[in-house]
Amino acid sequence: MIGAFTLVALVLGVCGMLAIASRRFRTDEDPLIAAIDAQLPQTQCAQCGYPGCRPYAEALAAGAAIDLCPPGGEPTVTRLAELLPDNPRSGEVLEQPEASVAFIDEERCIGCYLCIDACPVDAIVGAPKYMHTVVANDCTGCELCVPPCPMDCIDMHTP
Amino acid sequence: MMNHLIYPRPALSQWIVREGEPITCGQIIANGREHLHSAFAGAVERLTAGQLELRVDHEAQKPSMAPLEVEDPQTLQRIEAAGIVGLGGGGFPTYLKLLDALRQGVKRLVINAVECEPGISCDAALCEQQPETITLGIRALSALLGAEVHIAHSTATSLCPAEGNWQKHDVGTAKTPVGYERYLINTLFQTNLIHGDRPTHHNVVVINLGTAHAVGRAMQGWPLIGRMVSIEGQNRWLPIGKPFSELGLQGDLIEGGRLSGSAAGVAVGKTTNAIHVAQHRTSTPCINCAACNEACPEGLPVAQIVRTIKASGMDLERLHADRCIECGLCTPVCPSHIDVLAATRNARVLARAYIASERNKTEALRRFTAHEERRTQRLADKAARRQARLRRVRGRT
Repeated sequence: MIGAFTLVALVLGVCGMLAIASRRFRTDEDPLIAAIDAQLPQTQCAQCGYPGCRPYAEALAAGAAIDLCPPGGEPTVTRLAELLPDNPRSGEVLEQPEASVAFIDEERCIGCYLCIDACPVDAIVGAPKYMHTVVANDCTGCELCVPPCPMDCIDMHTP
Repeated sequence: MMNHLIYPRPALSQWIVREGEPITCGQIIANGREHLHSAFAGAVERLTAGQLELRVDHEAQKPSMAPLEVEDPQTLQRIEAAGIVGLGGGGFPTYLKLLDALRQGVKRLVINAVECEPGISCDAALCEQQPETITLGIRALSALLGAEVHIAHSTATSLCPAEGNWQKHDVGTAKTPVGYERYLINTLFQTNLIHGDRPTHHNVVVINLGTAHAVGRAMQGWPLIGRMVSIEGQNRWLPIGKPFSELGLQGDLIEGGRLSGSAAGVAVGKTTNAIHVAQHRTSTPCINCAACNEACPEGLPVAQIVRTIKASGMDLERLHADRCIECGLCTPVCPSHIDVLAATRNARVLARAYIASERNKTEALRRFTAHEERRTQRLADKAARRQARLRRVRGRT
């Protein structure tokens, strides 16, 4: 009787510890989502309709169309099709845009900091009231910095 | 006599002259990462973003800079100002290479006089005709780096100068690719450099003999406006910018050695070491004999790479197509006469582009994660401040 009681207590204790540990060391890494995310171009441009590559990866895991990513283009669609054979296609023609980088016209920049906030990959350097400039190597060409600029001084250039 | 010079724009550099502008001999026409000088006096006849055409009025040349002493502290600046790049074929700006060597404290300077490719003998001609200039260049480089000098040469270039405690290393009858930088270092110093290793990280910097000669000329006041070129076995000193059409050769031209050369551009460039007339062979389909795999000094699966050429960069990267050193040994062994090198070169470009895009992706994600973390933190801080303010205000009333 005591033996059985101890056993139950032990099992309960271990379960409790596991529950605590799982909450403590919780990982929200779904391997499928991670694998999908690795195929996306990480431009964070939101052209797919989701607010970034990770959210699109999550949507894909839940069954979204695989041909919504313009920067990735057809190669990405092919690789996603291998990963997610059951996902549908939206049927729209996916045009891969030419690689481009943002360029700030330094004559017109007033240093408002809005583009720096908007850049998802920290590719714009500068400080409030000081001129900003784009680090061309780091720019993914997502165009997210273009609309917030009050001076309309950001253009996309093909390198 | 009326003739023209044609200059393609050097990478990461800009034209600094305008159309119609008169040009003097040795004048800088483009600068940026690399300086480019006009070889003769004349005028800019046509200028596009990628190419400059110069009408030559006077075919007289004179140094455009004052001579420098061997141990002058301005040596590195002079090498930059003279527009010197690796004349062995790499074309990398020499001042950047030397700057790297200085930062790493490199104490071994190797002068690469191993001409291992069939059809190239411009360095041998320089050794024969202008040994004093080469000596001057090596002395300047050695003084700049404070490094010991090793001269690697083959039987063909055994006339290369040596003085004092310079060490000469004879590699004998050079067979491709013994003169390839990494292999040469491994032979000379019994090191084991592999793909991706930088010589400067192993206390070595390798300078081509032609480059050393150009450094010697720069010390005498000459910018890089001419070079020795092997034309079908004959060596001629040609001005940089000399159009290939004026060489009097018939047929399609190959620039570089017989093995690793590629289709010629329009004019002699800084890295044009040889010119050949192409020998076209009709190819038949691949018979999977794998002779190219056997021939590859890097041990790459060449046949597989060539077969995969239409596939994605990802597949080519898995076959290590980016490690091709473009020595060209795979082409002559092919019994089907396939231009294997052209295919592997293409594969290398695709594989490298894929590697770069993967690296960019990882970097973008890393920066995006940092950006998001900062944003979340900022919003949380803002909310906390608001709470504190509310508590304060409510506490007062």
